[in-house]
Amino acid sequence: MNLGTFIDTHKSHAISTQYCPVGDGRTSIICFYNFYERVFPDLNPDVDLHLVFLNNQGEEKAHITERIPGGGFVQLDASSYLDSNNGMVCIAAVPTCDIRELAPKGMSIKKILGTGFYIVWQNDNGYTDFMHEWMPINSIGSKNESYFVTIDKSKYIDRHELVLMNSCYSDTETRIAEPVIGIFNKKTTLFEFEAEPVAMMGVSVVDLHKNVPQLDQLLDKYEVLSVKVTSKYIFPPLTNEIHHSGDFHMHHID
Amino acid sequence: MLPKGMWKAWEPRVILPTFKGVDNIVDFSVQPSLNKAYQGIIYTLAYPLYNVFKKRSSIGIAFKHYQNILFRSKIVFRIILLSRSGEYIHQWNVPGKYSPGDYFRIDLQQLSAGSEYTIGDNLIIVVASRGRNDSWMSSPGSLSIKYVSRNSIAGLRTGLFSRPLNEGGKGHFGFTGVNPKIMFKKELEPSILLINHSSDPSYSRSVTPTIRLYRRPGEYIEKKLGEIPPNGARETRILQVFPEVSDYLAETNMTGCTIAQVKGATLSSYHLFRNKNDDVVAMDHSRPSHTNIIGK
Repeated sequence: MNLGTFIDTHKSHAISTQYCPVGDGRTSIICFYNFYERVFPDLNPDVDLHLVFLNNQGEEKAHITERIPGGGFVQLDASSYLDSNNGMVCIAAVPTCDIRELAPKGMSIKKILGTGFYIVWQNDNGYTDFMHEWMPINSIGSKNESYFVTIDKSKYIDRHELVLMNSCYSDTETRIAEPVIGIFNKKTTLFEFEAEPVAMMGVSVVDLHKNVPQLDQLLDKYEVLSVKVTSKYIFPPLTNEIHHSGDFHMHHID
Repeated sequence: MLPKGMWKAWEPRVILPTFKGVDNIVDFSVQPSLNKAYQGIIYTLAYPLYNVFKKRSSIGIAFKHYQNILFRSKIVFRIILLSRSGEYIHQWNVPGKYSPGDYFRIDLQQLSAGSEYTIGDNLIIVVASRGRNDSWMSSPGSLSIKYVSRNSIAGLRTGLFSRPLNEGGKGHFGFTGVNPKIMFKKELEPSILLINHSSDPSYSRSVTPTIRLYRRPGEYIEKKLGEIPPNGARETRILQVFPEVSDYLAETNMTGCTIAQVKGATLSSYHLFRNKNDDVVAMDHSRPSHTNIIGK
């Protein structure tokens, strides 16, 4: 089953996404708890956890389904399913029974059910970070949106990256994001560039120091800068700050 | 209890831990969402009065909100410092007023330098003077807090909110915090940090959560965590509360899941990894799972 068919088959489920890098000493571990047990302790349904792994060009590389028993949990290493890449994982947990039919009377069940999970990013040097799921796949599309984040000068942070994920899926048109990234100090534009296009359901990691050659001098001068990301099809990006020890800190902007 | 009038009911805020021995750095970028009406103009204008009608808010709060919309008021921020046992220590005003595209970054050590107050294992409450036009209990953007040392970096981003929390006579039905990321790989040690706070500064209730360590559905050990005073916090290392973890999780390759619970109150919950040097190397807030299922 491909992603388009999966979306069509499970229209009542939002398919959560998250950045899923593997290879070059990195791995991503998806951690999921069958939370339906919290809401339906008597019913305690099993879920089918559907995972679709895509590479950074938005090409589907694996589609797996794990049956998670009621109250069960799983930790899945993405390197079993993805080759070395900066890809994306899309996840939906689908109960094996009809919870709308079986739910207690008066319980208000969402029209579109969500899937929460965590991802633990690790590298071979023992450094780690983690985050909850990020935005669900959007089939409607988007207009141009802007997001702001600050970056700062620190004696311990070597590099600043942005992780741009294009999770706007369509089976009738190709939605390629063309982000424009600006560096600002208090609303004065210091530098602006067009980042590499991001394929539909793809990921682009933008090294700000590579794209803005004078970034270190700008940080020395102003200590704190604002980065503005403007694009269609890109939802609030992740930032990645790389510490000189090899540790890193990755998180969503908004 | 905190001093009376620490914040107004309409002021979005967030409570976060700080840690000793690291640079605790806070920053915020005001997103364009501050003055937008993503959910439509009619919704944006009607929602404050609707909340008055539903008795979730007051005429004064609705009036304040319309004032913000009309005058596109800029945001002013404050940082309140508490001890981990919930006592008020001091507060600072963040210099400046902020509109979309503006930002601030504050090193809390530098903020407190020159004062008699030092930042160690504490709590801070960051308060904003207003929320978004179309989601007026929420901030236009996420506050970032970073913990940076010579050896490590960790942090998280989370929004500021002004919704009622642990307030009023009824009490909350309870808190459940699930952490399926329990693992002991690469010399990492998991822990959880729980904060017992309220939208009411006069909140005075202590709580004593329990925690279960699961290795499979239905197979768990349960322990009591220590008491958490009002507006206080407690970090619990999994190895400390479950010294038998090496034996207990041996058959699941040292992986497990914890569920922390308390009745009658809700808590802020953070998950951490520390390394063998005790540095905080990863951290994030936990997520309520029922919101994936219950609601509109």
